[in-house]
Amino acid sequence: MNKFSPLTESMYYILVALSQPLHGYGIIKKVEELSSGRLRLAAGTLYGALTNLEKNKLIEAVGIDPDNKRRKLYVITSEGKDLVNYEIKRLSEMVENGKKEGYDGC
Amino acid sequence: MVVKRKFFFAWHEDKEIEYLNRMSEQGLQLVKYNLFKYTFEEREERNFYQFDFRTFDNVSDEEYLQLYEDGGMDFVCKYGGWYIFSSKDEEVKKIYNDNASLRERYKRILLFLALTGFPLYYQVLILYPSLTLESKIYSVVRIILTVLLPIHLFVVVRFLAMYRKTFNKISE
Repeated sequence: MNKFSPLTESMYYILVALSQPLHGYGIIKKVEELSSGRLRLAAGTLYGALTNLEKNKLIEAVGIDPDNKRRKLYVITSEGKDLVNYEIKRLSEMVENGKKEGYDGC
Repeated sequence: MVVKRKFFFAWHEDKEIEYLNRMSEQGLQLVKYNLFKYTFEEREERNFYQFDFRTFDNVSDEEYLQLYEDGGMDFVCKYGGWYIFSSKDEEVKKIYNDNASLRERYKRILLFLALTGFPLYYQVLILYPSLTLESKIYSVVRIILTVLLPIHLFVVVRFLAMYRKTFNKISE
C-alpha cells in the first residue's frame, strides 16, 4: 500500500509529466498533449497540486527557467516514481477486472 | 475611470462574477477593488472573471501569478486574501478543474474564518458577560461586535454548506 494512493487524475498526470524537468506551463501543455486534449489543468488546481507534491517530497524544484525567473522547474523524485508505479499497477488491475467482467470500454 | 459601489455577500461569488462579466461586456474593465468599491477602466474588450483565495499557505506571489498567467489568466487585483483574475477566453475561465482542489479552496476560506472569528467569539461570549460597563465608546464597540457575531456565524455556515456539497459529487 502507498499512503498517497489513490491519486486524483490531475495529480497522477502531473507526476507522469514530470519524468523530465518542466515548469508549470510546460506541465499544462504536456498533460494536454498526453491526454489528447481531454484534460486541461486549471491554474489553481495545478498550483495547489505542485505545492502539495513538493511538501510531500514527491517532486522537487530543480532550478528556474532561464527565460523567465518567475517559473520554477520541477522534476519527480524517487518516492514520486514509486507512487506512479504503484498507481499504474492499481489502475491496470482496475481495467483488467472491468474487462474480465464483460465491459469493453465502448 | 468609472467607480461603482456595490455590495455582494462573500458566498454570492457567482453573482459578483456575473456582474463583472456584464460590466466587461458593456466596455467597463475592472482594474481595482476596495471594500464594496469597484474601479473600472473604459476599454472595448471582453473579459471573464474568476476569484481565488489564498492567505496562510505562503503564496510566493511571483511564482503563483506567473503560473496563472501561463494558464491563460491575467491578474487584475488583490484584496485581502482574494485574488481576482480575468481571461479573454471563456474556455479557460475555471481556476479549479477537480473536486479535490475545490475542496481545498473551501478549507482555506473556512480556516481564515475560524482564525478571524476566534477573537470575536471570545470577546462577545466570554469577556463581555464578565465585564461591567464603564465608558460610552466601549459600549458602542460592544454593540458592533455583538452584531458582527451572528453575521460571522452565518458566513461560516454558508461556506460549510458549500464545502459539504463538494462531498456529494462522485467525481473527483
